[in-house]
Amino acid sequence: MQKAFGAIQRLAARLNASIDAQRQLGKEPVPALSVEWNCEPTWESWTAARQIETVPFARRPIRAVARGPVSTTSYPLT
Amino acid sequence: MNKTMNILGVSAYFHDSAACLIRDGEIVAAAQEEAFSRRKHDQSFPAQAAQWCLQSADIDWADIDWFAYYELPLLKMRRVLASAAASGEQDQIRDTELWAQLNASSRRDVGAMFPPGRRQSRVLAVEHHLSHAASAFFPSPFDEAAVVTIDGVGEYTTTSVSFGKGHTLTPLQRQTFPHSLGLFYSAFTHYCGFRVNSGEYKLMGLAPYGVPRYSTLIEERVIRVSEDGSFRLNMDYFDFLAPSSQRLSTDRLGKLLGRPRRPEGADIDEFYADVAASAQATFEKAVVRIVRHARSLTGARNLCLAGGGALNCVANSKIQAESSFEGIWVQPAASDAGGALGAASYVWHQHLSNPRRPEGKDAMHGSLLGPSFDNGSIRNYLDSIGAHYSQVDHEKLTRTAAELLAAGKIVAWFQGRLEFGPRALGSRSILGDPRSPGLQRHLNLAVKNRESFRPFAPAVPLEEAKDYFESPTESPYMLFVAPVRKNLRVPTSSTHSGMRPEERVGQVRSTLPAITHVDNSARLQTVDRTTHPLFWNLLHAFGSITGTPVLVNTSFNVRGEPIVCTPEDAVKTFLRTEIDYLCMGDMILDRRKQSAVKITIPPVTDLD
Repeated sequence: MQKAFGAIQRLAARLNASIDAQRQLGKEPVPALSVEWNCEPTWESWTAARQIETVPFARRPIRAVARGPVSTTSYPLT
Repeated sequence: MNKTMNILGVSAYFHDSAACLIRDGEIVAAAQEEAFSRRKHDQSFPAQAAQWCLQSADIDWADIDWFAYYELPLLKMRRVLASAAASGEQDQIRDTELWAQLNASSRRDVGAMFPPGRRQSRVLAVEHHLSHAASAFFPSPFDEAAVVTIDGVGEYTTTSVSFGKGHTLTPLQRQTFPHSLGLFYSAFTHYCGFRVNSGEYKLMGLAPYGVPRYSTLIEERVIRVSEDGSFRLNMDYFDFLAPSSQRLSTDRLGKLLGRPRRPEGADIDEFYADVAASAQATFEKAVVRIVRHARSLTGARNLCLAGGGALNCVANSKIQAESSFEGIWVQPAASDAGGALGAASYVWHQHLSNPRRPEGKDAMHGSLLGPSFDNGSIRNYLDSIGAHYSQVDHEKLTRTAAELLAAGKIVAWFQGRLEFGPRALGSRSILGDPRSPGLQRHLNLAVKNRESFRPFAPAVPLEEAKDYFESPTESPYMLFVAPVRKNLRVPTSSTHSGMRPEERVGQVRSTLPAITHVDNSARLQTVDRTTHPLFWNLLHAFGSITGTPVLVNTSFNVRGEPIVCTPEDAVKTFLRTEIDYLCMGDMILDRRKQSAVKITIPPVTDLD
């Protein structure tokens, strides 16, 4: 169990490092989390970059899923 | 020769995961994972839905040019961790574990879908509310529109305003977590004893039974809504900062309102109806201000809506009545399922700069985008289980079904492609006669196994709607309400003091009592002849017999289960309920004649 937690924590650390790297590139805005009640509501601007591009970690094709006695039916695109 | 471009969109890991295939800009297939897994609101990676999308277009994984994911997993994880820290939660390791696994899962599952030869497949992750906004604008009938999204939370954004023009969508302003109208509504859903992420429409259905006597208190102490629609929650009353929290409201909310949270399944009395009415009124006030702000910000004459908050059809109609937009279009799969469609359409239009040509109609194909089954496969299945049925042609099918409905029978209607989104629109529907005074209670208790106070929706041919409803707007996806015409209403006692909502259900309020809600409204579906010809024919066949081309239309499922997808799902639901007849393709089944059927029907164990 301890070993698993360690692996998870390392993964989380890597992910956070990745987030920080992306922040430095200006790709992802991270707003402050404010729970203050005694202040006027306001709109925040939403103008920063909105997307990331990545490459999947390709391993193996997913298996086709067979399901029930009618799974071989063709699905017309009408 | 230009190669066909296939874009697969996916939403997953929160609720209502889904996949959508866009081919050369056209939405050709979309389905939620729950349709295949049979787990309602299934959040797991939509492998079966994605596989079906490809199968439906006769392509393989290698043919996918772009993969679009509906949010940014890393940014979402960061918010969850920050939220856990802000909540002072001691058990943060559990959250770290959960979200680290989640993120790892998304990467693994996405990556695993591509064959080894396609390691360079292009993946675009689109911010959650941008996916919603894209799902609202790109398939809409408008060339230019203000776009508003409202839900619980994506990465950080909870409400957003964008401007859509041509094939571009420009984000403008937002509200961020923890200040969330969606979570506000979900917290009151939880407080009134319903489940979060599935019981919100119950709160909306309960609201008309109450009086919004707590609205002022809620707006002074719980949520502050500015004139421009920006808002702020008082986190003393909410408990969703901790990601492991199983509840959304604190005990202080109960103390403020005067009663503790209603336990799930307990009797519903006037108090909780009043709280529901108050939360609904506050929600409506906020969304009307938000869309007015969006109008002044963009100058657009049309409005597009998405996000779970856009499924609140009462609020949508309030927007229609109290804002100055000329046209309003709501994405039928407005919750996270629609994010798959939004992300994919974002890639096609915004990222790849492909133009849109809206020509007065939306691009959703009536939201009939899921699996369908031909007569041969239906017949093969029925034969395999020993079902008794008769096969007829289309004309006789609609005439027979109309006669059965006019005779007071309940008919399940399984035709064509499964709907994409939470509403059954005449492909996987249970139908009844709206003139029947006892139908609402009977359908709720004996067929759907759900709370008796919940209303049912009418379906009516578009061109006939004005004869039964006041100022009806085109509402093909059941996302607007309209009052039943005054000349159809009948007087009722105005004294409801001390009556529980369930006791008021049986009151006859109009000549269409089964679809007339307690406030004389109805959640309308207008049926267009060209989009939905068979269902339109059925409505007219019923009208030719009864003089009233209106039917009760509720989803073909029982409480706690997804809408049926396959003939097998349909037969199981048909036989476990008191539905009288099942019309599936050209086959008609009479429930009384199915004693020879060999099929195992599992009990429903998780009522939502």
